[in-house]
Amino acid sequence: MSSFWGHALLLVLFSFVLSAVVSGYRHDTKAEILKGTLRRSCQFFGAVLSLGTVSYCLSLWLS
Amino acid sequence: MDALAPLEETRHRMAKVVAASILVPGLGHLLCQKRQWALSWFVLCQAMLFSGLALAGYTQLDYGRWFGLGGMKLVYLLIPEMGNYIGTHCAALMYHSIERGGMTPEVLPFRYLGYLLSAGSGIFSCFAAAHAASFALTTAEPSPRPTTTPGQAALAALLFPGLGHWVTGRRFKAYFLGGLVLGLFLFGMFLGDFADFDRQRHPYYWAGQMLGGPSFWIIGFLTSPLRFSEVMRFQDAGLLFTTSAGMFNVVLALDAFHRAQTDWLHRARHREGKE
Repeated sequence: MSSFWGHALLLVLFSFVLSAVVSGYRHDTKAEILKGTLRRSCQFFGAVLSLGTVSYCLSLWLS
Repeated sequence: MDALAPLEETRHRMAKVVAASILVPGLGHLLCQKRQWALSWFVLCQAMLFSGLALAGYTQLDYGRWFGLGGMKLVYLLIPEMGNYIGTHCAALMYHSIERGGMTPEVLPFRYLGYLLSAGSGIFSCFAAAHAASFALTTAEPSPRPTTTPGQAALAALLFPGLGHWVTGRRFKAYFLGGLVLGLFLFGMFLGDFADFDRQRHPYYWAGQMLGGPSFWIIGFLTSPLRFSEVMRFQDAGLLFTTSAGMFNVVLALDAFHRAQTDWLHRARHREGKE
């Protein structure tokens, strides 16, 4: 497994756990927690991926 | 169930009790007239701190720093020991690390145990504050059908990830969140070749790992002789995962405290017809 895909997989895992903990703190029922976990996972994963893409493009432009 | 908050007077009392407990473990319990609890927490926290310092040759003090005004020493910053504020402050005034005498911590066979004990003292002091605050709440607003108190829930959450939710009857949260936090920690340890729990290598990350409570401490102690045999590909991610898992456990403990408090207040106010 290449380093990129390995890190992407780790990011998915971390996004999921972080989102679950935040959703568990915000909500108290199973349905709300699961729904919130999925939504927040996608948001966090997307935000980190966007920042990574912007950083990569900047590094290409500046080098 | 809507979240309920303690009365303003109770909240002020809880804040006082928490501040007193952080200053001296057990002092908050003393303010709540719980003398046996006060003595137990005081002895436990100070015994752990000073025995831990002695076992590690006081080398914990190498990780701390004094802050003050002019030449006056006011605050000794040492994470996580300073949760036991007065004890850590006195120890820093009285003792010096053996490294200042030219020795190295490597010669001390029980230094890992010492680090765990002294740091555990600071973390237990913080949870003693939660336990004492719980007494302030349950005394001010007694429930006709006593259930798990917020302090008991917080302590259970510290003992094992998810246990705080288990004792308040939230089985799904206990399995789901506790399992994820423990799984994240174990997976992080795996990524770091089980050699990532090391104060000497990265003391700040280690402070975060320690927040996971005794279950993490035991794993850290059992893996303490292990060393990196090579630079692992995802070693940094492993360190991030284990430290985050410790911090997430604090979030679980806060949530367990808050949920137990809401349950308690619902029962207490249902009796009084205040809802």
